Amino acid sequence: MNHRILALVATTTFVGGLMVGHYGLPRGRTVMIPVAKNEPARNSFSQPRPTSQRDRIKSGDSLRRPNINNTIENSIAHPADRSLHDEVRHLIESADVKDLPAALDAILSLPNQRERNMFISTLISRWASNDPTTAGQRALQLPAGPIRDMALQLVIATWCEQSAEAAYAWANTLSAGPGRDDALREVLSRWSSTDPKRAASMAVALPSGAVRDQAIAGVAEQWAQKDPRAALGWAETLGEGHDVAWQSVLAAWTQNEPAAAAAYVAALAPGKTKEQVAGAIARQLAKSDPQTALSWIEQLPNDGTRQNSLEPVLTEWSETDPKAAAEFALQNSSGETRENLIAAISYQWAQTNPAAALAWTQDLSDPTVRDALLPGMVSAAAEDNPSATAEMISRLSGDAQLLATSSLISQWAGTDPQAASAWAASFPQGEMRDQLFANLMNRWAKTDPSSAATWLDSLGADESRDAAVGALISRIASADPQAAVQWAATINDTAMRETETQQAVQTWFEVDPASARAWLANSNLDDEIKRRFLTPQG
Amino acid sequence: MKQNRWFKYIVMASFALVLSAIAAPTAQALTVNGFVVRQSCVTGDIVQVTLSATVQPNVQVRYRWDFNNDGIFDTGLLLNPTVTHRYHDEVLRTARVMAVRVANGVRAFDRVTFMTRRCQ
Repeated sequence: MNHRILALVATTTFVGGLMVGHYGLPRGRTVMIPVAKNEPARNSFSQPRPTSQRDRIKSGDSLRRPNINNTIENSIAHPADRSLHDEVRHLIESADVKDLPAALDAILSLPNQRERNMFISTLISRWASNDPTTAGQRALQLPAGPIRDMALQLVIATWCEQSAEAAYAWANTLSAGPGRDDALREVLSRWSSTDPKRAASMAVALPSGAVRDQAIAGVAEQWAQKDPRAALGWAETLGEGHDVAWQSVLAAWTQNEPAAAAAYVAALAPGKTKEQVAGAIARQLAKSDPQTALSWIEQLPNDGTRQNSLEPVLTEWSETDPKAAAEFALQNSSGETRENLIAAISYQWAQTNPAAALAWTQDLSDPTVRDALLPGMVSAAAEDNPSATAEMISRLSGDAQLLATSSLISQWAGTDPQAASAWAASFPQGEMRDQLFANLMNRWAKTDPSSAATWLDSLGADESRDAAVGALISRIASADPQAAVQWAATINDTAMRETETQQAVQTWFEVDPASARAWLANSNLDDEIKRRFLTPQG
Repeated sequence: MKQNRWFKYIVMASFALVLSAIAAPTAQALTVNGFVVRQSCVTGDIVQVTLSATVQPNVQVRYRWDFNNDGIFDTGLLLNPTVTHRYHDEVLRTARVMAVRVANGVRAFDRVTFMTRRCQ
C-alpha cells in the first residue's frame, strides 16, 4: 500500500514537473548563461538558467569565447532583460583577455546604442588594464566617431593611471593621422591633471599645427584648474602657442576666480589683445550663465574693453532670452556698439520668434531705433514664412506697421509676387495701400514686367492702381518708352495722368527722339503736350 | 581612342570646376532692395519722402543713399536703412541705395524711382 502511495506521489510529482517545465518556463528562448563558481542559486523563472552543459563553467574554468558571445546575442534578443546586461558585464570583467577581441566584435553589433556603449566601456577598461597597447590599437581601428573616441579615451585614461609616460610614448609611435592626433591630445589632457609641468613640456614639443595648439589649450586649462598662477607663468614664457595657452588659462581661471582674473585682465596694457582676451573670457562665462558674465564685465575698466566684451555675452544671452539681452543692450551700451548689438540680437530674434520680436520693436520708445531695426527684422522673419510675417505685421500699428509692410512687400514681391500682390490688395484703400502697390510694382517690374503688367490689367481704376502704374512707368520708360506712354494714358487721376505722360514722353525723347517725335505727331495726346515737345523751342 | 576618353574626362572635370566657381559666388551674392515708406507734405510744395531698404541675405551691412541718382552719395555709411529726404512735389525722382557688407566690403546697389506726391 505504502509502495502504491509512494509510486502515485512520484508519478504525480513527475507529471507536475513536466507540466511546469512545459507551461511555466518561457519558450523560444535559448538560455545559455554560465554559472560562475560560488554564484548564489537563482530563481529559474526570473533568471534564465543554462540549458547546455557545454556553456556551464566548472570551478576553475576560464570563461570561453562562446559564452560571452552567446550571452551578448541573448542580450540583443532580449533588450529589456536587465539581468542579461549584468551577466554580460560580469563576463567581460572576468573573461580571459584573449577572448576580449571577439567579444568586442559581438558588442559592436548590438543595435541599442546605450547597451553598446555601456559594454564597450566595460570591455575596453578591462582590456586596457591588462594590455593597454593592444587595446589602444584596437580602439584606433574602430570607425572614426563617438565610439572610437570613447574607446580611445578609456584606454588612455586607464593607461595614464598606470603610466602617462608610457601612454604618451605609445601615442607617439602611431602613424600620423587623426588617430594619433586624438591619442596625443587625450594623453596630454590626462597627464596634465597629474603632472601639468611635464605634460606642458610635451605639448610644447609637438610640431606646429592644430594638434599642438589643441594640446597646449588642453594642458593650460587643466593646469589652470589646479594652479592658475603657475599655468599663467608657463603660458607667458611661450613663444608660439602663447595666445592659445594664455586664453585657455584665463578662461579656466575666470571660471574659478572671476574677480582675480578680471583684475589681471584690467591690468593688461590697453589694446587689441586685451579686448580679445576679455571678449573670449566673457563669451565662455556667458555660455553657462550670462549674468555671471555681465557681473564679470562690470569689473573690467570702463574703456573699450568693457564695451567690446558685451557683444559675445549678449550674443550668447540672446539665444536663450533675446528680449532681456536686447533691453540690456539698449540701456547699457551706446553709439555704434549699441546699434550693432541691438541689430544682431533683433535679427536673430526675428528668425526664432518673429511675433515677439516685432511686438517688442513696435513698443520701442525711440523711433530711430525702431526704424533702424524693423526692415531687417521683417526681412529675417519673411525669409522662412512671408505669409506668417504678413499676419504678424497686421497686429502692428502706426508708423511701425507702415515701415514693416513696405519692407515685407519689397522683399516678398521678389520671391512670390502673386502672393505679395494678393496681400497688398487685401488692404483697405488709402495711402498705405497706394504705397504698397507702388513698392510691389517697383520690385515686380524689375524682374518680370510682363507678369506685373498682366496683374495691373486685372485691377479696377483707383488711386492704388494709379500708384502701381506710376511705378511700372518708372521701371520701363527707358527700355520701352512707347509702352510707358500707353500705360500713362490708363491712369485714372487726371493730374497724375498728365504728369506721368509728360515724364514718359520726355524720357522717350531722351532715349530715341526720332521715334518719339513720329509717334507723338500722330498721337491723340493733348495739343499742349504736342506743342511742348514738337515745337523747336519746346 | 583611350587618350580621347581621358581627354573627355578632363574636359568634363574642368567644366564642372568652372561651373562650381561660377555658382559659388552666386550663392553668397548680396542684393539690396530700396523702397519708399511714405511721402508727407511739409510746406507748400515740399514733400518729405521716407526711404528704406532691406538686404538678402540678412547680414550686417551699412547703407549709403544717393537721393537724386546723380552719382554722388548724399549720406555716409549708415546702419539705419531708413532715411528721409525732402523733394519738390510732383517730380519724378530716382534714389539710389548702396549696401556694403561689413564682413568683406561686398557691395550691392538698387534704384527706386517714384513720383513725389502733389501737395497743393
